[in-house]
Amino acid sequence: MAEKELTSKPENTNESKEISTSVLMKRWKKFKTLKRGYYSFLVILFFYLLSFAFPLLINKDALIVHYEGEYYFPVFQFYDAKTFGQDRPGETNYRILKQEFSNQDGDNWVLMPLYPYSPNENLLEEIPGIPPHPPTMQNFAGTDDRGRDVFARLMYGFNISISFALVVTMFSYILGVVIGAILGFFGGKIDIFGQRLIEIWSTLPFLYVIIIISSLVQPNFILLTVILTLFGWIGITYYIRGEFYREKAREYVSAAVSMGAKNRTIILKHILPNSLVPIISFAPFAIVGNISSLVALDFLGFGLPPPTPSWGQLMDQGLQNINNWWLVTFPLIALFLTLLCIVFIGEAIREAFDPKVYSRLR
Amino acid sequence: MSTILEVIDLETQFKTDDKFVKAVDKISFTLNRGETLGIVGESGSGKSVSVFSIMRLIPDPPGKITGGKIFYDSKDSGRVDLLSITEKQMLHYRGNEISMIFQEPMTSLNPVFRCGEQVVEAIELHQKVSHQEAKERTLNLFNEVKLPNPERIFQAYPHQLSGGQKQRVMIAMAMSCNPHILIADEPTTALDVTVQATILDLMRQLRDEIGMSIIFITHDLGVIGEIADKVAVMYKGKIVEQGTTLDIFSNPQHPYTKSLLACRPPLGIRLKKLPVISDFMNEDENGNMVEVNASVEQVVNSVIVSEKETQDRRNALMNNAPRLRVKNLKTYFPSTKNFFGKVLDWVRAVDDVSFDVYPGETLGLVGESGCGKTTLGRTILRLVDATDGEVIYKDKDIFSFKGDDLKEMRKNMQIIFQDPYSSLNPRLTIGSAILEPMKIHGIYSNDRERKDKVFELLEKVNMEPSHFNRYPHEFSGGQRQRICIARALAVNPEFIICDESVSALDVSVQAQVLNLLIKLREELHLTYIFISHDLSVVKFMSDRMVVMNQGVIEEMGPADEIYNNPQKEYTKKLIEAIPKGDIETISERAKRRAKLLEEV
Repeated sequence: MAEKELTSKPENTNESKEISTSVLMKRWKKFKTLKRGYYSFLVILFFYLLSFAFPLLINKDALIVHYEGEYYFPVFQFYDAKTFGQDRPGETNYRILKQEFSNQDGDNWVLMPLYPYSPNENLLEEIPGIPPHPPTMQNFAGTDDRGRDVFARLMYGFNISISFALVVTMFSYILGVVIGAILGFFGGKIDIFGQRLIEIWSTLPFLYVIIIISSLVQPNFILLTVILTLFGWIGITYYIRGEFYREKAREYVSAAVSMGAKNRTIILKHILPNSLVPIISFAPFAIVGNISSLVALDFLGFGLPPPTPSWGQLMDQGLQNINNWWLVTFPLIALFLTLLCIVFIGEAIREAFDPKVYSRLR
Repeated sequence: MSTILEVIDLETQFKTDDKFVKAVDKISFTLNRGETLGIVGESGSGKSVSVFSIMRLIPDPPGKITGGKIFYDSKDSGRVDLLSITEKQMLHYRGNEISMIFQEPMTSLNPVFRCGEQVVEAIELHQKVSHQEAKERTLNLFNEVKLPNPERIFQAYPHQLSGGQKQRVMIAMAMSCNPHILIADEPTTALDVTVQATILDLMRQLRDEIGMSIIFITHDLGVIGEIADKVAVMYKGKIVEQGTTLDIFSNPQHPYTKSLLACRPPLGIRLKKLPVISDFMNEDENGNMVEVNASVEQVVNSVIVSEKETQDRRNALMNNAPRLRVKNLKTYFPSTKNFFGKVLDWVRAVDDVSFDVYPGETLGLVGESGCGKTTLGRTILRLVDATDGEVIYKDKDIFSFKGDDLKEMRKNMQIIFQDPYSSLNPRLTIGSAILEPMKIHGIYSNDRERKDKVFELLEKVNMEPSHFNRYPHEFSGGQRQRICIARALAVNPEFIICDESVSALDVSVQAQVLNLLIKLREELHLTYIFISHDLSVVKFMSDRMVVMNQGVIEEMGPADEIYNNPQKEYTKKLIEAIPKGDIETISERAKRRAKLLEEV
């Protein structure tokens, strides 16, 4: 009766009707109110999901071909030119096929994707003159020095850049969190030796390692992911180790110990969720960093193997053909907008996770 | 006596999510020259916000002063409304004519500067003096606030000083510009009772010598009785009662004031349970106050325990075999090491301590901070490794436990910590926090049964089952402490160590939690070791009491006996330090002060 007094305060009874929110939910709600970051997040998310559908949207292969009463789906299956009576070796050129069918005025038709060019396809056959070709109504962003459509390459490059950055960030986070947690929780000798090993590891010159490796083997997506992960986790351990040191001294951890909880429970259930804030706020910037790393490696020629559509490689072309403005401008705009959106997201996440309210004391 | 500060209808609001909350709701009071006004109320009653409003230090957003006037009568510039002048003009008054000391001496000094330099900076900010003069004045101030060895303190960094010394530095800093008004926001709450007594003593002396006005804020009416000339009692943003200290103590009118007076653990007598707010007032569904017609004496007399009852209880307890025996326990921490890491010197946190605890008993452990009482509690629970000695729990040596034995011990012995804010994992709901220990120990076969038990426990600690899915940040300090108690009870322990479990709580909330602990002790036959720096609380709670000082036991015996007849100087000092709040002392002090104030 006596102690009921506190619980029956009016503000508490009001609150109990509302749904209780976890700290994470609260932060997500706060994030949603930060419009700039939230809309950037939606835009990036939309385009990234859309980019998995690019083979249906940006492709030289037709979606459906109706030829002499039969339906063909070239997006999913390869047909050589002879199938549709085209007189050329190898693959069918569906854009030309569409032209031919409409000229024939028959029952045959071709349904092309929205933007009927592929990133690795050379357009010299259709566009006269020496590449790079300036932008036209058909090729929004012109072609590069091998006659490939720049717009298609940029779009496919977006998917590769973001995927690459996400994968690298995820793996380096996992590695960094595990190692940082071990160092921070157990401390003592493990921490001292672990830290020294990390210091030795971190002095390895990243770029030289890449150059050496790529001179031995042709780098591919997986190899580059592994290399960047191996160099990317170190920063994360510093954060997590520090957080673990701080959190393990808190009384709720003592309470868990005195309850008889195992180390594993204490680490995973109690300390870890409370120490993720700094690395969550850091994540968007890590992604930005990894996108830039890939661009830089591609630019230097140590990145993904040709003819993978990559932004760095396009920028390299821009540098070599500095007079062809579209080769310089469009890749830069794409990179700029992407990084800008992610930085906006990062800014909003930081604000949502920052317990400080930025107010002045007067 | 002339008025120096007049607050009229002050209103300050805070924006939370979508609504505005009135933290301070139209309060008015006056402060005369040389007078000390005490503002008392529980946390969240708006007492701090009201003085921060006077200093115009309300963070905006979310806060805003939305109404009222604050007239300050300055010696140089006459009567000004502090709320209508510009920020630049305000700088002249803030820190110079009106200065402030804060609750947390640990964080209100900048850790990277030497203490002396920080005071010098404050002086140079407001007065045109040379650096050398400022330095001399600082040393004088340090002398005035009775810091030992001012030259050394001047050169010391904040972390090298004790809490009491830091608070003295803060007072010196606040005094540095000879303020006309000193605002003290809970200056003694974070300190031990003994240190609190010395700080109060110092403030009284400085006030009488210099003749400045003080606004003293605290949640403890006992402290108010020690220092204030008049009192304003705040409750939910409003001042519910104002008057001279003598009037408030001898004839309280508002039920809230009565409950604040009654809920402090009394010293001369032994009570079954402490009076709490609801003995004096309740709330109906609309949040209106319903007064219970009772005087302080009536309520206190209804729960008094006679000496014979105490005696009988103790005899019954001592008839059993001890549940816990601590024998020659030593816990040392390395303090200096040589180049190769060999320990040269130790801090003897617990040094050769022996005592027994009987089943059903509460053993009180009292001493100043740093005396080793917390380390002792943690060593018993094996949260800290002992250096030497034995702890025998039910005829088994705790230090020899491994694996399953250790797990079994963890089930039987629990701890409730001091800080209710950090002892709950912020990411776990209340329900899963209480559920977790049961899961660890495999109590009950499935989660549904465990959940039912959680509901039962929540009710037992006077919380509601609907709190199951809520997170710690939604609760007040007292509620969180009750959740911690429920979590400790989840594994059906026999033995609980309460490590300063009520020290971070307001006196009114402290009374509720103490009553709960007593109720649970009777219902569940628990045995407690109750640790606190406040002898009055320990005396109220415990059957026997152990007084600790610098790692060793000074004195041990039945609680009332130690209080009534202390043998050691140290125990006497602890008893001396408790704010008594008895009417004779207050009226005597009031007479003396009246004379002094007339001279002003």
